[in-house]
Amino acid sequence: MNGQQNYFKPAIIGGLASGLLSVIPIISAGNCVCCLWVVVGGVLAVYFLAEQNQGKISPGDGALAGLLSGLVGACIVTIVLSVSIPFLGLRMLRHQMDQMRRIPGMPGGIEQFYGHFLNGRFVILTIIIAVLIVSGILFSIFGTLGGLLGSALFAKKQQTLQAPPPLPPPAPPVA
Amino acid sequence: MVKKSASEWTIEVASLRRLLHNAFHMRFRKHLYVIFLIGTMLCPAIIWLLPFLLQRSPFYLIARLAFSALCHQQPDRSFVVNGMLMMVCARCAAIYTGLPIGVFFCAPVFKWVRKLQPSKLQSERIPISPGGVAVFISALPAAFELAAEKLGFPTGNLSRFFATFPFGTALGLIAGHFLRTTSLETERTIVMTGALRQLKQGSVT
Repeated sequence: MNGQQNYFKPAIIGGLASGLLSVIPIISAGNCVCCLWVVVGGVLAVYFLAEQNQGKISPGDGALAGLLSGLVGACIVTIVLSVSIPFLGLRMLRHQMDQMRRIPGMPGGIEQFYGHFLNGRFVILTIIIAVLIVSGILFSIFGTLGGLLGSALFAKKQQTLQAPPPLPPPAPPVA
Repeated sequence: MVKKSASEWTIEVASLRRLLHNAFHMRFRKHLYVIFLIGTMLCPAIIWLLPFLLQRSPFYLIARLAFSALCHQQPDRSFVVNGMLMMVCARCAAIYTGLPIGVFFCAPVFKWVRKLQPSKLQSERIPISPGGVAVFISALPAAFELAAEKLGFPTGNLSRFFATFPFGTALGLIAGHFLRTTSLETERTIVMTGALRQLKQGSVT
């Protein structure tokens, strides 16, 4: 649009929504439907951007707001996960290992290898960095999609000059 | 040396901030399509290649944990690649794989759509957009597959993948089209602004 948009507040609000909804147990299952909460965060960011600018936003503005909200959401997911790692993180990793055990034909020796790793020193730091990278990529992609959807929903259409209505047919001559 | 007052400093800082904001904003918008394309290409690369690259690495488990915020990762609904479970389920894998294909091929596809003259297809009473129709039609196979699964028909990971793949591709096509248009418009604006500045300075005759 004009390059003067302020994305800060919309991105923070959208990112908070997408990040928090993605980490609350049970509710976070909504993300299984095409990353629903991330898309919702992007749409929310565009809603607030449109409110700021009286609906004068382009799809590019929406995409940018959605992308930034996705990045904020990824940071929030990482922060919440890093706080909860001492309580949940290692349990979640063991859950992943349990899932792996169900596959027939898993390469031998891997189970012991992972078990050894889980008792290692840098596991928490590695988890935080990996989650930040992966969720940063995924949240920004689906946030952008949400932003585009939001711009389609909330951007006001440009008023165009309309042709005047056709003249009524001439009245039949009175005899 | 002339000392500047506080108000002058405030104005200078504000103009510098505006300059930086505009430069970042315009450059970022100009490359938005390419950034999105790279991002979408990273997703299938990660999910298809990690089971090969990290088979003997503990990072595999951590990568799976990182994807767990966005997918249920049920083992019976995920592909097994190289003896390892994929990072995401078959349906998510289809969306992640279809997205970059759609983004990459959006330009020729929309060129072809424009030849069809979509304005003739649009109704005056019902506002139908070609993009909306494309997403709706592409979601139908996934919906039928889901319904078949719920009704007890035999389905598998391959049917889940191929039924959802068109939906991912359609999403990529539409997102790619909008982002490409934005990038091209921004580039045009930058060129026009530069030309205007040159005209003002009188360097262009």
